[in-house]
Amino acid sequence: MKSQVPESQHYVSGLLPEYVNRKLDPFETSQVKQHLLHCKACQAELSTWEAIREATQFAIASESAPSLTILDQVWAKIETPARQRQVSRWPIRHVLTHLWLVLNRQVRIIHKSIWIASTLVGLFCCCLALFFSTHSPGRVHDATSLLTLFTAVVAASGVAFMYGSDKDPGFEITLSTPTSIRIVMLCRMALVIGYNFVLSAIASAIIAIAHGGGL
Amino acid sequence: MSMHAQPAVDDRQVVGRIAAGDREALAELYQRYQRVLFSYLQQLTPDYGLAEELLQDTLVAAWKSAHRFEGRSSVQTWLIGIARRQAHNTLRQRKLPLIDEAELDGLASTDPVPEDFTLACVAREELVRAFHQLAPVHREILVLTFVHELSYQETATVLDVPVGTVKSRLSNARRMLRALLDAREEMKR
Repeated sequence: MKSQVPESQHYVSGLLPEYVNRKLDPFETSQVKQHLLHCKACQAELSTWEAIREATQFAIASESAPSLTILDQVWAKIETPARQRQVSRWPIRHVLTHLWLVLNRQVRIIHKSIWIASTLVGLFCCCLALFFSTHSPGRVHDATSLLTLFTAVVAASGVAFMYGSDKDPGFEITLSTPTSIRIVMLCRMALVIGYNFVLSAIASAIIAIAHGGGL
Repeated sequence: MSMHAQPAVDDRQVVGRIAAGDREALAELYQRYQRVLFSYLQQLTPDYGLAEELLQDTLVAAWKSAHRFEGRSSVQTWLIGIARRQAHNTLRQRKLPLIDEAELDGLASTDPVPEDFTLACVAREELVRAFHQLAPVHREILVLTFVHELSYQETATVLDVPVGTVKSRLSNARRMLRALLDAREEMKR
């Protein structure tokens, strides 16, 4: 049930928090003062607001202050976007530098067995091709086809074993870096395929030299 | 007891200097309002680290938007408004609890209630303890009114609600204090 409150009391009651804060204009202040002289309910309510005001101020006064480094951190936040804007003026340079750094680091992370296996298989193919070219000169083209096949198989095998939690000792560290795992994988694939391409190019050159550059 | 004592005209000059890129002016503004802003933000989040982060974001936003300050409100009201927006955006992004203000305002009532009057007789320590137990939205309205001493109109501007809602929230905060003290009395018995 709604309480029966006189209109003037309702009006003054709404002004009391501002009256406590001395935020009312002189006219309203005098109205409230006049009303308070004879209204016990508003006198009690005024006391309540004064008590709440005092308790609120006391509660806030006892709260801790911010640390002394706030302003330094503010300047760091203000200046960071400016630095980022400077970088974005050279997007190609930035991207190339980033790619170079990723490739450089991945060379060290990729398992050494991949490099060794590729070299050994490349060497074996090269020897095989040389053997065919020496003993069966008519089957040199078979030897070069064999070299192509082996190069592709070795590159594919290398790619299959270069990534994954069970094959990659640095897997967790790779996951924790800010570089996307897709970029990491593409870089590793480019490195392994590129390495096999170089090996097969050297093998082709050796076979060609063995034939007096006639291939 | 207000937390600030700087003349409003001087404050506006400081904001003008910030708009012109004066770094010392931002440091000056921070010195004046750090307590005001931090105490306000601490009502919105219990996490001290997050409150500090929000304080930093408030100053960054003030630095960036100083040129848009036209002096239609006081600098304190402007800063608290920025702090509130920063807090609400961050809390929403991080899926941290936000008070459903619409629901609280639905319970609004400005009628004086006789049993509230006894609050004046309660020991201050009891009231302070009850204050800390209030919902953020109620602590917020009490702090804006009695610590930062904003007028109803200024508080309405900061909270982006009508003046009537400010009054009803104050009234509800008082009711909740009473309810918390009553509950404690009940537990003692």
